[in-house]
Amino acid sequence: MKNRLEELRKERGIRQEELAEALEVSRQTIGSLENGRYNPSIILAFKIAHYFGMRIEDIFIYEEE
Amino acid sequence: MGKKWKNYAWTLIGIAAIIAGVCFFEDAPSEGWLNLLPSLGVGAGCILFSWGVSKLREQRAEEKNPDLEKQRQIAHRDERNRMITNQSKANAFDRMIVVFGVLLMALVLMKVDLVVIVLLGAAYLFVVGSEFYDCKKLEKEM
Repeated sequence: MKNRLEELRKERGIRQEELAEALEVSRQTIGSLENGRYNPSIILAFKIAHYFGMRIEDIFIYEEE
Repeated sequence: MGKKWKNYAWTLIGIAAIIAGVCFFEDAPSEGWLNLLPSLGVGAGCILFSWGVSKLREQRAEEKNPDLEKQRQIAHRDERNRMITNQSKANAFDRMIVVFGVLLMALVLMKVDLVVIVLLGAAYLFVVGSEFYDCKKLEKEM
């Protein structure tokens, strides 16, 4: 699954540490999400969408295998 | 009792157990389970002492830097960290099942005392049984 997390974060000038603190996750989790190495739980996906004021599907792009 | 005092208490109990173990080393009876007591005291004392000291050090570091406690809590609750820990445990469990199975077979072939084999076999079955139980329980819950 691809995501636009890095793009959205940079657009808003937010550091990984700040985003991690707001979402109550570690900075490494943000890094892994941005690199596409880790897919978030539905709760974290909602938190991220809520943080950016967007819908989940606007941030996370599902790709059929 | 505060967390800090509890850690001090465990550290002191550890020191007391080490001292008691060393002091009674000579006086311990030469036979029977009582002669193990001093060694057990030293062993348990070392564990308690090192655990207590490490907790006290952690606490001191947190007092100096209050953000550290928050970071520790976040790292503890972080879903990726939890997934990594759970996956590592699951992999280790799979390996343990094979290793213990091979070990059990090796002990049988070495004609080791039956009590040892029965105890190890029972422990092995308990672990496998508890996994089966947890699996069924979680299936009902989810």
